[in-house]
Amino acid sequence: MKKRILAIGVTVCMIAGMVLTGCGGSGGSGGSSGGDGKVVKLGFLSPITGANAAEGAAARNAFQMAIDQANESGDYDYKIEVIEIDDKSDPSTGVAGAQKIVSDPDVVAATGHWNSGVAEATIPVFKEAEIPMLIWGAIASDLTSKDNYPWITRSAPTDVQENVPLAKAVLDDMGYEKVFIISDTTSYGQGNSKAFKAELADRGLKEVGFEEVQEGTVDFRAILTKVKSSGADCVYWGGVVTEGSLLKQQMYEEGVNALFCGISGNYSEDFLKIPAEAAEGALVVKPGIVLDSTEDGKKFIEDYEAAGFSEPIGAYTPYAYTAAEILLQALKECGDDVTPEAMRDAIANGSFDGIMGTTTFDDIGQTELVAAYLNVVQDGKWTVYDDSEYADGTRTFGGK
Amino acid sequence: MSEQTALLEVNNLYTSYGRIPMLLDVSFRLREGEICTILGANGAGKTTLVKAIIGMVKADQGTIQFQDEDITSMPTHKRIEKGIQVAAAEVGTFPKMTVEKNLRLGAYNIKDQKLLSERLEEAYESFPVLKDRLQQKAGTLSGGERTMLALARAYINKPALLIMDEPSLGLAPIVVDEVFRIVRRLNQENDMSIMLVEQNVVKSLGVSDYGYIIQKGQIIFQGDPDQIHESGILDNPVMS
Amino acid sequence: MSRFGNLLMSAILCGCTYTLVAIGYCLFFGVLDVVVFCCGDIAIFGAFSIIGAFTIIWSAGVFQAVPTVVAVLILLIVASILCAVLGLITYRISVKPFEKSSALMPLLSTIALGVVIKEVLGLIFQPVINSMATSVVRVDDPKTVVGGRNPQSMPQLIAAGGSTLTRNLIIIVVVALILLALFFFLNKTKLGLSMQAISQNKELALMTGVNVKSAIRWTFIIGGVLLAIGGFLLGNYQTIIRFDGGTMYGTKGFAAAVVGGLKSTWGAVIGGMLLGFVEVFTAGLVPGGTKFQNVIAFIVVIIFIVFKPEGIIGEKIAEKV
Repeated sequence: MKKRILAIGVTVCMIAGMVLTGCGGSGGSGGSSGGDGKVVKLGFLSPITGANAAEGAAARNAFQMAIDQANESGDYDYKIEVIEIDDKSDPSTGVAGAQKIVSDPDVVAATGHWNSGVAEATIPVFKEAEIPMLIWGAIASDLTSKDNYPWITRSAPTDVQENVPLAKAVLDDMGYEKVFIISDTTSYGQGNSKAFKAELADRGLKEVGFEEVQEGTVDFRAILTKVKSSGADCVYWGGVVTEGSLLKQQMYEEGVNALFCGISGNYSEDFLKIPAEAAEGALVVKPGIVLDSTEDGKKFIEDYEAAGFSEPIGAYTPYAYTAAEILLQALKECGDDVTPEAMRDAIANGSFDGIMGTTTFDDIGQTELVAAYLNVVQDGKWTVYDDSEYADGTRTFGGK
Repeated sequence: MSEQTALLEVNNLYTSYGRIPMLLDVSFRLREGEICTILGANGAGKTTLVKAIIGMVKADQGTIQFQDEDITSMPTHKRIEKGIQVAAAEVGTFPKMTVEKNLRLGAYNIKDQKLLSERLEEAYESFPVLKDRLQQKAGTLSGGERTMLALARAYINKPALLIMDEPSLGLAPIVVDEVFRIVRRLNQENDMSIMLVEQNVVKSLGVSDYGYIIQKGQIIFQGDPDQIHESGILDNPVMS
Repeated sequence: MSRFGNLLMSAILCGCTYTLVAIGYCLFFGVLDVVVFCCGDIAIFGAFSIIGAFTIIWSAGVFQAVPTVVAVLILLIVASILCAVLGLITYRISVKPFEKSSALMPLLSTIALGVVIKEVLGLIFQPVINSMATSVVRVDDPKTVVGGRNPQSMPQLIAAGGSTLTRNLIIIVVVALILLALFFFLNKTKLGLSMQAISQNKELALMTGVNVKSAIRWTFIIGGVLLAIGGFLLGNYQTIIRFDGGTMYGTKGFAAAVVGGLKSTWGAVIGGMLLGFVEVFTAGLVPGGTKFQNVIAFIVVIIFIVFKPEGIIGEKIAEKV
């Protein structure tokens, strides 16, 4: 009896396996027989369904739009096709998709992932198959590394990199010098405090105080007495909104006269749950660009809207478009000899102009372009700094 | 004496601790105004019997009647309200409270403040040792003083039945004599019925009107002190 | 205020919050000789009850219609009732069934219950309250009360719109009043005395005629009310409440109670204050000391356990028989 059940089970599995591979095979051949003459394929992975579908699908739209524009332009002697994979924000689905991409001989490069966890799972697949992968949307800092370079590169800035534009704004443009650094003890918090300390050191400055708190801390009052006595004019918060909003509120309550600044982990509606007058003047950097502030950006919005996609432009949609721009320019660099190796070198060493600025990669394949803009809480709402009353001097931050 | 009404009547009582039987078919009567002794060796079931009477140990079978009322399934605090008090030196005191507070708390069921003060005064007279120690924490008393405190605490309530669980335990002979003098006085001057649970055979039979001998959870003999002495049952090495 | 003054204020407030939780441990340990480990979670539940009740009576228009003090009292009564019920449930389902087993069983089961309380608050508080409230709630200053899972912002009910100094002073005064009331209750009322009696000698208390069962039930009711007020003050001091904050308060409160002697209410006050002072002054005076504040606080606790195991107030009374 048991043997018979086992036999039936095995048979069912085999049939299911054949059906599945059969489908995959026919899908693949259908794709490659679509074009006339030479075809070059690019892989694209994003969560098109599932919890992060809004960002993932919009990114897919933008990427496809860029490829379509390239095919229409006639600049390429071959047809560029996209193998589109829905990773569902799930690492194992992502790995299956990555394997499908690398098993296609026409593929020369891939770009993928909004979720860092999925990227972490697929990176070994691309490295082993020697297909260059450009990460367009996952931001965990350890995805790009010496080990992964040069096969893995990333055009999105990591969260820690956001400290660069923040430091530039706060230290160079606004002229704060006495910074008190507070962060949480997570790797995120420590990475940030380290990055901001490095920024200070580059300018010959040193923080006037440094404290680390545990995640979930609700009482910052003891630290704030230190902040006061240190004479700090700026408090840098290296954590996220949960504790950050409380810190800002208690700074207000305790009458700490200093600027509060932090990176994008604080940019959240949750920050506005504290009273408006307590939240007022919190300065937070957010990655990306204000699209309609540049000509290229405006054109991107127009094109995207003209294409009639059902998903609106998300925070990371321009990043997917940028990734497409980088791959397309790399293809051009390669000329007639389009191979994964050539693409790898073209991406890692090139300099690429796009809607977010000029992208170059550092020695571990991490982008050096950190497009970001400042936001400030004004009257209980997040406002783009450049449009706020702080930029024109009507209002001033603490500590000045 | 047998025509006097029974104050406490225990009929065919069985109790157990977990699955171990503690009391087996125990029956006894305590008549109003008498001092009745329960004699038995360590572990014979004396303390279990006391706890069963006040409801700290559940009766598996049998009945307990007090003043012609069935109290078998009554909660402890109700039985205390009915007029049963236990003075058990072994159970101790409220160690962090002063002697006075111990006594006041002991009179838990006396609601009338005036009556309480009267009773306290009486207690101080009957137990002069305590009078000097009123503000001392009970935990710092000597063994004899603690026994006095336990007695005084029960006495304040002027109970219809006073159960004394091994009052002579661990006391110097001279203090034991004092304790038994008090027992007799309580019985004679205050008309208190007293159930004396003891190991000290000679002393307790000396003050008692009637006695029961308990062994391994069973009553094996009963009678007045003379009968008990005559029976020779006390020569049994188990009882020594 | 001077820097030292600020630190002193923070330390006292921090100590107050620990004290209230610690007293909960003391009361329960006193009558039962078991550690009821979900005290912190009951306090957090109290704070959430306040938020929930506030949201509902605000959207029903009751809050605005009556004087604030009355409204706050209504909220406190609601939360006290809920916490008292939770206290009774705690006793009924995770203490009483283990009366005859080792003291580890109720410890474990109350830890488990604490986790349940915490997770239930985290998972269903939001949807339930949001469905009952008809409008977004704001108090004097625009501050959304409902939104986000963790942390949950607490309506500003003490000295609303006033200075934080006023609020802090009110909190300290309220805690002092609670302690006085508790002292009076424990020493002057029959129930309080019987609770003390049970705590010192349960068998003798039974023999004296104390209704032990009812006294235990009342202890859980009173403990629940106390923890509800504790949660209310905690929330107002911190301005927010985390649904998972109970574990930390539970542990700190327990530590404070142990330092103070577990059965002594005054010990709990001293233990709570000690912990609060050590934490705040470590964070406030030692450079970079913040991340060590818990470490140092617990080292102090361990030192006390080693050198004064009976607690600061606990007296060594060996009653020999």
